[in-house]
Amino acid sequence: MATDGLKDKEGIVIIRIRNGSIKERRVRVRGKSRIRDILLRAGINPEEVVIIKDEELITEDDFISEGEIIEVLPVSLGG
Amino acid sequence: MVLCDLCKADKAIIKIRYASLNLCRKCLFMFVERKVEAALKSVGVLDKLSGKLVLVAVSGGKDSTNTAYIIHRLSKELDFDVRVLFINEGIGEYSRRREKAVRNFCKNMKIECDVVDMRQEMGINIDEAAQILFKSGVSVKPCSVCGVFRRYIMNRRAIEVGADYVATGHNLDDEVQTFIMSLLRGDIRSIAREVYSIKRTIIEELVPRIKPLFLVYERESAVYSLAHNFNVVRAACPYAPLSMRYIIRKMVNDLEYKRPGTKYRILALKETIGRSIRDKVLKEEEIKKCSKCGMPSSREICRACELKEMLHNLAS
Repeated sequence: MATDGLKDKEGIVIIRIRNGSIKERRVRVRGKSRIRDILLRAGINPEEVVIIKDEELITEDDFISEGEIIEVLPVSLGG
Repeated sequence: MVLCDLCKADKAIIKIRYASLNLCRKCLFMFVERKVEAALKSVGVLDKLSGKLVLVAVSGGKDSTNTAYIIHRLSKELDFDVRVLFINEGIGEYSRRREKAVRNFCKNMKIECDVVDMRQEMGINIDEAAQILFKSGVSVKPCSVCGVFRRYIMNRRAIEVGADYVATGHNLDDEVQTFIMSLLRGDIRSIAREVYSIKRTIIEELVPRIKPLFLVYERESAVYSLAHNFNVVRAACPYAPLSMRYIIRKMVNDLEYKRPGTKYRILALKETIGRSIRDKVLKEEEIKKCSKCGMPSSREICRACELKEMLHNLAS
């Protein structure tokens, strides 16, 4: 379930959506989670985005831990 | 870290869900470039390129930039010439940024670049057309005007430079969306025309269009562009949310996620239907010359001239 307004990054991962402007979604996690599951919980279809972590492209099969940040770019931008 | 399923050595940067494959940068490049060769072969163009001139219409976005890059690479192998065409549609800062990106790309790649201003060519640009359309409340969308005008300019420019083919950046997602839009409009002619373009080379004033990325998913194209670090404009056209395509894209992507390979299956259906109806549908369609501009058209006045006239009348 996506949650908003959490003050720190404990127990959450942050998804930054670069869609012209930058929007942020926060998803509560426990330990490690597969990125695909995090995206789906944030209401993002993995088919519609490219995923970047620490400035590197990664796949939806990669894992992410609490406190980490991923960026997503809609694939349709500027086709 | 997820490893590439092909080379088993490098870190994967994309998951191809319909093929259950994770691919690294190098293997994705090979995967996409092979699809382009397969696409050109499937329409019978790959073996005919030697000695020819291909005009690539580049918008400054990821797909057409990828197309220009791959076609330019192929041109070295297969010995043909490449030029780029950029059409500035006059959509404010969006078009200015794109023009700059295309000019830089061509300079870096050493490809000859033609820049055409839509206002100069058609007497009106898309921002001006949109204003007129919004004010008058007619149902024509700016995207429809943009599409018709761009195709018109592409063809005219291709004739002027003596191009044998015009290549565009349409990817598999675009093809599927266009097909569904034609189905929803009940527009059987558009479906027939889509598969007929190569066969229509006999018409002198209609330069055949090729779509080298038509087997490449939009997501694959996006990752290909980012992995190459191409300097493209990653921003949506301000008018895009007004188009029907926007709604269909979302719907097809939802289906693709739930049933990977759905887009491929729709594309295959489009080809099957198109091939089975094209002769019957297009036999009845006589290609004439537009009575206003002389360009080929199935009507007395071509759609571009019709829209120009409509906008002129609405404005006055």
